[in-house]
Amino acid sequence: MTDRGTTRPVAGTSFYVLLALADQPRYGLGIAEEVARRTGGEIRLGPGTLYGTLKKLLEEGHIGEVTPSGHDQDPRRRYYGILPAGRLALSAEAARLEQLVFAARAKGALPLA
Amino acid sequence: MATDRLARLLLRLYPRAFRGRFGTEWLETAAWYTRDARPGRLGSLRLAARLLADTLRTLPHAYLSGGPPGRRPAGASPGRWGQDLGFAARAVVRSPVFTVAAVGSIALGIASNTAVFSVVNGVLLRPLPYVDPDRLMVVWNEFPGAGLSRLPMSGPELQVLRGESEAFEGVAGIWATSGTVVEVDGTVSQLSTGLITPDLFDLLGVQAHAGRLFERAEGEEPTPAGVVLSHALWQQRYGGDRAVIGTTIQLNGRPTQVVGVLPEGFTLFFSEDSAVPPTLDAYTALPWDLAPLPPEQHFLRVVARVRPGVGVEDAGAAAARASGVARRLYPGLEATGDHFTVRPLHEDSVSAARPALLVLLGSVGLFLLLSLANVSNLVLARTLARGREFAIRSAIGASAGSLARLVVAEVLILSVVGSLVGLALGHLGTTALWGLRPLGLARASDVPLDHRVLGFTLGMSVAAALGIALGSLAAVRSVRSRPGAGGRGDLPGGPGRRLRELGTVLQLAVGVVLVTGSSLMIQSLRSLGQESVGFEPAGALTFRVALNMGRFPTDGERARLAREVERKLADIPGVTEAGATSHLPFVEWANWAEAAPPEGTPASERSAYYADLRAVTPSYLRAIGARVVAGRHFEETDDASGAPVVIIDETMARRIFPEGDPVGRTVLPSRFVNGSFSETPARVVGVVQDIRDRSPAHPSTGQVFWPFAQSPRWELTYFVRTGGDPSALAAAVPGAVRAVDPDLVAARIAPMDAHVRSATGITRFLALVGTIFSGLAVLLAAIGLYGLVAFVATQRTREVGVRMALGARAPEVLGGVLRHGARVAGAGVLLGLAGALGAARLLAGLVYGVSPHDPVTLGGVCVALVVVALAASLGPAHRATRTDPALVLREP
Repeated sequence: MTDRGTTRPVAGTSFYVLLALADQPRYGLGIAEEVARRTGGEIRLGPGTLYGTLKKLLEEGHIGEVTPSGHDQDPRRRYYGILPAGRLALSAEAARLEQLVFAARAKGALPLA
Repeated sequence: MATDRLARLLLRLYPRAFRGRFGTEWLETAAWYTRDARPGRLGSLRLAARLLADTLRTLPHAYLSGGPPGRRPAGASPGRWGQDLGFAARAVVRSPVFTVAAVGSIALGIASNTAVFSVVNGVLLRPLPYVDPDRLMVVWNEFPGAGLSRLPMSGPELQVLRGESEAFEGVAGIWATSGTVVEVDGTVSQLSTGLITPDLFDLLGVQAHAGRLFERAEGEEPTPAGVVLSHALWQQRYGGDRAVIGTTIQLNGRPTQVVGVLPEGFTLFFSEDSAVPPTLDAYTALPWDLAPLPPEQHFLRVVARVRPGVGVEDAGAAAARASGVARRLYPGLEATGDHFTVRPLHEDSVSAARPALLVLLGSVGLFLLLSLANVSNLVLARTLARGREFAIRSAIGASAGSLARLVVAEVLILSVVGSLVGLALGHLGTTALWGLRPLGLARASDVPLDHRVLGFTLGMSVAAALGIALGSLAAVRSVRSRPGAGGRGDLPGGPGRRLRELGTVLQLAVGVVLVTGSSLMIQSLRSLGQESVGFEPAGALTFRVALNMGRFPTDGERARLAREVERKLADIPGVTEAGATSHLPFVEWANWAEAAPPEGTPASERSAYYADLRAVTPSYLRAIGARVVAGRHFEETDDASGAPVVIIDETMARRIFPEGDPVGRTVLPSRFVNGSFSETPARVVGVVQDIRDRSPAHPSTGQVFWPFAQSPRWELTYFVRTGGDPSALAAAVPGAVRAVDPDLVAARIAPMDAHVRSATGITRFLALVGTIFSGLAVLLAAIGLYGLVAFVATQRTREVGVRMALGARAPEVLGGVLRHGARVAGAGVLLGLAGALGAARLLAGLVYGVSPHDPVTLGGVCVALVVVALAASLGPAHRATRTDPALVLREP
């Protein structure tokens, strides 16, 4: 149900995966570990969820397979990097979240920064 | 690691392309995901459940979306299916009663099939755990001249069979006995042992766990050298200590060296009638050369390994040639037309279990059908009840496809959850079923949940989901075709009702078939219970005593011990009579066969008079309640100093003296004196009514009884009759036996009733399992009919209301609703009757004392089901009569 032409934000798992890839390409388990680290172990992606999401993001053109240039590259693994469409979707969602946080602050649900 | 296995299993559920692309890393992530288990079974269970949930939740997506976005066909977007699944999942959760009923039905059907198929797989399908098991055959001895079948072989016959070396790579034999006495550190106990040809283990392809097994060279020595222990005995008696190998133990008083230990779980697979149990405690070897053994002493169960490429027919031809040679060499075998027949070992070993298991599989298959009909009915009812919702959706532009997707998504969820619950329940059910199995029904040591079982369950689940989905799609069509009517939730007749009627008819039919089957088994059980077995099994305790031949070598000593134990038993309060036999009915039967010809029989005709020879104490036949029909019982004076005498049974009397009046005539059975069997002329002093030997269902094959003092064998089973509860004697028996001699042990103490139950085990098992399934089947069918009648009655509320407003009386309305229920019930019962008659052929070999076409049973079952059906329709019919016309007519 992608509405091509406008950039739709991504929700849930897709957001976490794109966020994990925002700074550098990673392979599957690396993404899951990054998400776990980033959320303080709160969110652990299962294999079904992770590769289902990767498949979907690949099909939607948000991410692509890349050959990383780092020294820690493992030739047996597939690395994924974020594509421009993915970066747009990520920022759209981040902006949406920001608005929500702003709204929450305005209503006193969060202390001012 | 169990979760690793689960992960690999789950990965296989994904499409090939997905696995190719992500497979290895998927497994890596799964391992990470399930890594930090809390220690213990519960922690890993929790993680396994999490992995399962994670996979199943996301699995549809892997199938539903395909290819890169450019190539995706229009309208098949993953999002829409995902949305439908999500919507359906919420809908399913919101109707817990419907969901539990549907999931429960699917789960029960799948679980029962998984359980029974697991047993069928473990027993009938899984290859025997030997090297090249397909090349193993059993060789039986047929004596058509004596009317005997499937007898063991004599030593010389096996020796002749070895000569057919073009067809057979090897021919091995075994004879099992439970009366071997072992002495360890001054305490004696009884072992079950196998006396085998030295090449048996080699032929099966078994390797020693420790030490070594018998080798051919060893068998060439005149006395069997050494004993091989089972893994279980080695663990229990010697704590798994390897130092025991090479030491000497006392077997039947003879010093015997322990040469090796068999691998854990080693099992023998011989048919139930072979008297070779699946496991034995220890094995000793026969000499290699069997030719010097008596040619007419048939005791060896023979298993042969055919050469590669040799089929059953070739092997049969080779065996037939060998029997021709044996008949020429040993004229005593002529008269019976003695010949050898060959059957594959696996097929032969499960021949008793196969019909029972197949009938069981058929029953649960029908039961699954019934459960599915039930679910279809439920989904149908739900879909029709949602007619208003669907009509609105349709009116605001939902396509037929999108409505169908909603229903199919629901069915998909129900089926997947139901199948998973079914698989789990099935695994429990397998354990329960396996625990219930009668002795001899199945000899497999376990029933694994392997790829065959999982494949079978998966296949059933897919078929189940398809069946239900098709049924529900028809319902959707019927709803959608009349959006106007749907708005009122008022659908008289139509395909929905027809489908439900069909489903209910099917359910009742299956119910009739299952109930007929189980009532036939119950009647068989009753007939077996009422069958005259020739003695009175109730109210008696039995136990076994082995007379150590090394410790008590003389005939006189063993005869004295037997008598003294009997006297001590008689002193126990509550004991009314006690006696002993070498072979207890239903327990120790037909371990070998020997001739007992009348005097003057030419050598070539001797084998027409095969008999089961038993040695009994004078009071034994009285104690078991055998009836003497001619002549007299044994007396204490029929001892070693008296003239040799025997009692024969009626079958034997007819066989030896067809002209009648056998008392006072002379026969030539062999007896055990001075350490070996020898033929002795003996006068017949009495004839007893036939005593059933193998089971209550098998007539006697002819028995000859010696007084124990005249044929003092080394093993005895005591039969102690009491006025009260036989188990109450169990505490007093060991002391009484030990008081006679500290070296005597009372082993396998059990009430005679227990042996009878175990001998009728298969019938009992089928009756029990059949009753459970047919009970569930009737319940489901009744619920189905109730649902149908209630549904139709509700649909007709307006009509009934109008008719009652116009003056119709309650009984007329009641009659109308009931008539509908009766029509459906009648159709179901008729269809079921046809099915039951068709299934009768399968049951023919399993029922006893009742015809599978028994009109009383069939009629009774039909009447009973019609009554149940009417009772189920009565409730909703009665409710229809209380319809308030005013209320109904006021409805929009």
